[in-house]
Amino acid sequence: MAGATSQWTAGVIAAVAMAVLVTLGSWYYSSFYQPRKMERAYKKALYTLATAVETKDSGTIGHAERVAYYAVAVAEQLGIDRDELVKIEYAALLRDIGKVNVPAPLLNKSTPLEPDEWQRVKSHAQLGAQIVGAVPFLAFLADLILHHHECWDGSGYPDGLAGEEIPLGSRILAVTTDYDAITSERPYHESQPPAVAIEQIKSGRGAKYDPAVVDAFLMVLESGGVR
Amino acid sequence: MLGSGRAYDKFRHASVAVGAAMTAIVCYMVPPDARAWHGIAALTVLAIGAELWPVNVGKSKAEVTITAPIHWTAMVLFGPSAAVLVALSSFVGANLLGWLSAKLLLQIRDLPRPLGKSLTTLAGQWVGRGNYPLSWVASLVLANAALDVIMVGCAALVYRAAGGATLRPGYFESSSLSAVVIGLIGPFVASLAAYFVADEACYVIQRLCIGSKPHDTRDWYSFVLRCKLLLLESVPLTWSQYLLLPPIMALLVYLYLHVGFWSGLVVFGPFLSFRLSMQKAVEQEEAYMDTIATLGTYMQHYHPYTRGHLKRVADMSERLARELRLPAETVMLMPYAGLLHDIGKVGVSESILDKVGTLTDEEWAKIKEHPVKGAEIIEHMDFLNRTVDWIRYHHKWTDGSGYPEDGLRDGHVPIEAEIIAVADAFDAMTDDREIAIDWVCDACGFKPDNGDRPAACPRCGAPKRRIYREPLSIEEAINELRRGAGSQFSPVVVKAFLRMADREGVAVGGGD
Repeated sequence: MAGATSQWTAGVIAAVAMAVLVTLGSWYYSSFYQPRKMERAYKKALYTLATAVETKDSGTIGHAERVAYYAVAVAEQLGIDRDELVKIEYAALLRDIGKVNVPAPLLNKSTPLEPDEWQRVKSHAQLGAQIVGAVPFLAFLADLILHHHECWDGSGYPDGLAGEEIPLGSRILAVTTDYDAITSERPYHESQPPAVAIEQIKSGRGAKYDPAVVDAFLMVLESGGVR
Repeated sequence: MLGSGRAYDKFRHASVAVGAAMTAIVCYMVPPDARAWHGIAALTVLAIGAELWPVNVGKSKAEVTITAPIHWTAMVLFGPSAAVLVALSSFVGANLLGWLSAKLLLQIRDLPRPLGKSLTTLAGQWVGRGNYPLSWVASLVLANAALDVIMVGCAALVYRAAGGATLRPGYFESSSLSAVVIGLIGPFVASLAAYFVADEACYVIQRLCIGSKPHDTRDWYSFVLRCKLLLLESVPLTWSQYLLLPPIMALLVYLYLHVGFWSGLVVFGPFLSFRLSMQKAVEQEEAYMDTIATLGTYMQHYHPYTRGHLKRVADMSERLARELRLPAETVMLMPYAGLLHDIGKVGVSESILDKVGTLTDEEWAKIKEHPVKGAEIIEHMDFLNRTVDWIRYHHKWTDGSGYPEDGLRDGHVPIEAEIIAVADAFDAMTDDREIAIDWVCDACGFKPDNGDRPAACPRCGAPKRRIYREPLSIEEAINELRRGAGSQFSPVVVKAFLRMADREGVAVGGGD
């Protein structure tokens, strides 16, 4: 009788132990392992879609990824918190997604654009914001994308916002996008050495670009955070 | 002949025959132990529960059940015949229960909410199919139950042949470690291997029967290559269950031997938490995939007629995959592939896509690149890796023409690509694409503000030409599909489409 009872207890203990193990295992899987794996795959997929658009804009492959890298470095330098960093990174990747609706010949034109052509190119900011705004989990990026071509002095597009009216993320994107554009080759200009790009960014400090962002960007460059 | 609809029917009949033979042989060789009937009944009930309570893979309600460890438990505790009987009765029982609840749901309206909800859960994938005739349900259920029976039967026979013991209470206390290894663990691993081989073999044979025949080569080499590719596709998805499920089985066996059959209920705790976490992981993955797919879809939206088209192609592809009883994983991925099948057009210049006149050879070459470009994009999305070839070949004809022209990896178009091709073609034929484009007078450029579509321009009186051809009626489009079956389209998919359209109807677009 005693033997039967102890067998019983052993069975129950084993069952409970196994139940706890399985439960812990599944909890770890669904709360830690899977989400991390998913997030990596997710970022890669977003990057791929951005690249798909870049193939139209010849010479800009890898642009989105580099800009995302600079933008996050600058944002870190400015002491922005983690959630906002993720937002800036995604916005940097998807910034030019509105270019799907801009004909490739316009994007690659080496001569100056006609006014209506220029309008068409400019429309990519609004369209990008619309596309991203329509996707439930990405809608929070819409304002950063809408304003990534605004200038500190109010001379940018689409809304001509100035100073602090422009979301900080968009101000960061403006500096980093231009730096990368100047240093890489485009149909309408040769690639320039980093020193020239830095000069141009510096000359736009307080005019085209937010002075604080420019300072942070220069600091990132100096500390070797950006190759 | 491979590839005809008849081959698939033959496969189903053959599997029922083999399954029946397997049941008979096993029951004749090792008759079920009548004294163990209550244990067998308990395991059957447990298996029916697991069958009715599957892990939902995504919104498409593609389902994965965790019944294998229960079948293995029956095999180890009560012998091969019990395992086969549990597999057969639980599959048939659960599906009949599902079908009956679906029937009940259809017949009794205004059920009180909790009752209706639990009936819907019971009905599972049978929801909305309660009106299917019993003969159809029986043939479908038996054909699928037969696959289970064949796998479990093979495993159990191997277990017995390898000298596996039938466990009785006190087995572990009275056996030495080496006896347990020789009499239980060794044979069980062998039976797992047999289960694995039978599972993969059933899958490969089924796919060979559904798929269209290789158009250029039918020699031994291409046959082996196709089998190899099918295995490469399936094994990475299935191998992990042979690590995850045996512990569940061990728990069941241990509990039965020590506590008695009724306390097998304890296993429901871990089972539930396992199911919950699977569910959570699936939901999260789905949220990501939805986001990617929606973004991809909106990126294609600048084309006025693609909006509704992509959605309808996605829906129809999913329904066709279900109709063809493709694996749950495929059914789940189908709508995403449908939404993104033309993503490669993002890289094609819109001056070519929008061109009204005839295209030059060069422009055609550009358009023909879009499946390959799309496949390249999808290749970088880990969630959708399996759909790369579906998108790459969705303009490849079953007879080998179409594009891309660089040939197929194994001389045949994947069935999923053929499904997308049929859904895409049907919707393109019946969709009124003209309505989606703004009405502008060809002669004077007049554009009405109120969205009218007059036959002649109100300002200059010039008659309006249609840019695209008139949309076809459903009957005409179906005739076109019929005509293309065997050359442009897969006969099996067209047949499934006709069956589905006949039973449930199809949606057509009005250029929205």
